[in-house]
Amino acid sequence: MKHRKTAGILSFVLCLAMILTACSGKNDNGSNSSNAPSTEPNETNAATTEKAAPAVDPFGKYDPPITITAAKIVGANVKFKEGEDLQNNVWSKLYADTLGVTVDYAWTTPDLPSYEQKMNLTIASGELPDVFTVTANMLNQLVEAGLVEDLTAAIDQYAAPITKEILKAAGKQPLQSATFDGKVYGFPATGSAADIAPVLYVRTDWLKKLNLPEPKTMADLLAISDAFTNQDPDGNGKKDTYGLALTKDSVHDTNVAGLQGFMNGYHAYLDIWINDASGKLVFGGIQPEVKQALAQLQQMYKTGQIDKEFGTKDAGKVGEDLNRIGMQFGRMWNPGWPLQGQVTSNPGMEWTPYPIPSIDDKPALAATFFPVNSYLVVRKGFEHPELAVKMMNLYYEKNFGPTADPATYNKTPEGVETLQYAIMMAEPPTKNYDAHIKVVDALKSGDTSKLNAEELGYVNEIKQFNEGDINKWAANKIFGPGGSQSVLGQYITGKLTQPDEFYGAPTPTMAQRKSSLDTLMEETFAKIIMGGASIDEFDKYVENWKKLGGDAITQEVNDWYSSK
Amino acid sequence: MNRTKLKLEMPLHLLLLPGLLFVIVFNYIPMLGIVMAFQKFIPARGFFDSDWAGLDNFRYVFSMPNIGQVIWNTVFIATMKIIAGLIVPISIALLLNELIHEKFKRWVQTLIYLPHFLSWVILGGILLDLLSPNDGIVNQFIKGIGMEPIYFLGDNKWFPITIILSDQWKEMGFSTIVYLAALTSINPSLYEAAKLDGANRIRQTWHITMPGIRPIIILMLTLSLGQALNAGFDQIFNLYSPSVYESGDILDTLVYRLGLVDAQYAVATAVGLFKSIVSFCLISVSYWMAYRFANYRIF
Repeated sequence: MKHRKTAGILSFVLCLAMILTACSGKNDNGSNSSNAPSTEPNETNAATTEKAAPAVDPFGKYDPPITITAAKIVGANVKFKEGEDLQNNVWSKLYADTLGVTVDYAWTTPDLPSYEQKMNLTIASGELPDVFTVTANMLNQLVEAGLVEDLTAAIDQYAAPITKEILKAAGKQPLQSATFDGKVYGFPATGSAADIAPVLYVRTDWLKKLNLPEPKTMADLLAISDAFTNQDPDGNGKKDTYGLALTKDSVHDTNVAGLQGFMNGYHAYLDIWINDASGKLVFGGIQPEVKQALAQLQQMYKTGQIDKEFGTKDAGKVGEDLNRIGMQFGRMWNPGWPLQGQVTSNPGMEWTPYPIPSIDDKPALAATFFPVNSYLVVRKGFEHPELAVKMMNLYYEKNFGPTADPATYNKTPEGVETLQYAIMMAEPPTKNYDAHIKVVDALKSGDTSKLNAEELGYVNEIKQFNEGDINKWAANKIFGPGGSQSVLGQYITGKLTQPDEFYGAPTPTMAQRKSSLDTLMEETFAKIIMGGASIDEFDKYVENWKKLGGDAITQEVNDWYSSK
Repeated sequence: MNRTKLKLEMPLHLLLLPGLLFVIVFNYIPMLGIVMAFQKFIPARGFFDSDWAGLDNFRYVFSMPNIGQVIWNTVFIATMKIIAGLIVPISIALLLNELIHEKFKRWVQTLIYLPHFLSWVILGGILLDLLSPNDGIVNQFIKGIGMEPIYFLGDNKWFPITIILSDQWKEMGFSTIVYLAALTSINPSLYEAAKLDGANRIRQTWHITMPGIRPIIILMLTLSLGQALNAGFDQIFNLYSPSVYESGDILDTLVYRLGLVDAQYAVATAVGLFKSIVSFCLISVSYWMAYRFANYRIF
């Protein structure tokens, strides 16, 4: 009995010791992280006062050189030259030689979901890299937790002329989206909104064969879809072709065979916020125009113009099916993938990009999303917050500035995309469209002296295509005359885009509810199109959407709208 | 207990220690993470600085539009899987047991065992092609006998059935082996005695084989009842699509979308905790029932 008691006490003490050590370990971490911010302001103050003295140089070199840690996404498509890697390449040399900075990547991941997971873990462990890229959502969380440095002064003082020019061209929205309480916490990766707009691709060899006109209106499109399905455009005597391509992710994924473009033809806009008649912001995905378009799609599914199986096929599988589907709404880069593969293996196949046709006499507006999807941020307490701006200065300068050298820093003549090695990629807002204009001019005049290496690359590829190299078909269809960029040009010059009017960080209810609302939308739309639910299910969906957080989100979005 | 006995058993207790530590470190300490379910958890702040939210996360979960449907799907698919997981392997084991040709028996055993080693990522792709309503081999057959093709993976009526059957197709070989092992432990003299008494094959099966493997059946059932809310994440995740969320979305896929896709860790933890509590109750009940009706005890 006595021994049992001692054993009991012993085990109790052991347990206690374990719990205590476990707790104390965590307390240490806790106190570290809570101490850290309190010591930082002094340091940063000291740093800024020190730096205020010498003249500000947007490309100034650190002496002695510094080493920083960083994190970024390195996709599977990133290739390195022989003997080079992420830590040793043209960009790392440029950073070291010009800025005196050695970039040491603490970690990288191949795609965004894994990057977000890893970053969330890193945030929890309190070991943030010095400089890293984040999404709007992550930026929001980091600012809320006070873990990133204010970049307002750094951007003001250190932005190079080319950087200022590009930020100005991008409008005030990109910087505003990174602004919290009047302070800018992230450098936005500028990009082109038009490049995200849906484009209609049509099998023009089928059009010619069936003697059909080009799709100018939605009525044309519907007639073409019907003909592509029923008049045996591939001439094999079997009814195995479809008019319109959709994927199981069509509702939210506009990359390949998306729903967005079709909706835009009906003046309906999925997934974005638009102005209603009273000047308030409303969610595009619940407007009555959507119902009209869905009813049409339901009809098309029923009459076999849409693959019966689209509900279980992802973009990759539908890409393989594009030899028997005649139309799809995608992005400007679709000729590169999946169309190039189809064109190469199916002689005679031809796809042509068109702007979105309209259901009535009002022109259709192409829905565009806010083009900034990543930000360069600096860990709170890092001594050189201006480094992020300097790195972006270098990026813009070496790609688009007066001393640009794209053959080294963007894409080598061998086709290695060296720009992927930079800490963050960004573009002037109309870079691709400008390239298209210059490429078409150069092809006409034969004068290639004004082109940069990237544009020259397109011209050469298009020349090779004109000489019969079918593998260069995509370059011609994107940047050549009548290419997808010319369609985007029509959007830009005709102001035929409907931008997302909401570009702030996700609101609280949005962060919590958006995914279930998105799921509700996907499910309802899929069921309606496939005939599993009647079109009136749409009204129930709108009601549910509002009830399950949609009304709250609308309120928050409008609060944000009126506050800016 | 006296001192010498304790001394004698000390090495045994020490041997137990690493295993115990392992369980404590990897199974019990992570349980502290359950606090997330009651917090407005922000990863950057950690457990200690996140605000308390009381039962808000649970309220949120149960206010989600599809939660009732999701729970029903989970229970339905899991229950059907448990039932099918009893009937199919036992039948196959009994049938195999009757085979005289040893080589053929081994062949069948190996063949039905093989799918168990393939992951659902691979099988998902294969099933998608096999079950395609346009050109899948299954629907070619269905069309061949003059019926309308069935969209197995896109039709809410068929999706759960497809899930249950394909799960059996993959797993039946594994469970069959367990029952076959149990069958070999039955004393052959019982069969001889029954034969002498004039019992035919079916009577022998009913009166000797079934009682013989009853403990194993009850053990397998007891163990599987704890799985009553596990409808099989990898399988469903690889086969479902928005059009069958209605009949195919289960708690685990919901947790996946909430926790890993949207980083709503607190809500995902709340769902997980709910699932664990229900499973714990079910295991307790089934354990009690196994003791009460079959006199079977683990502890």
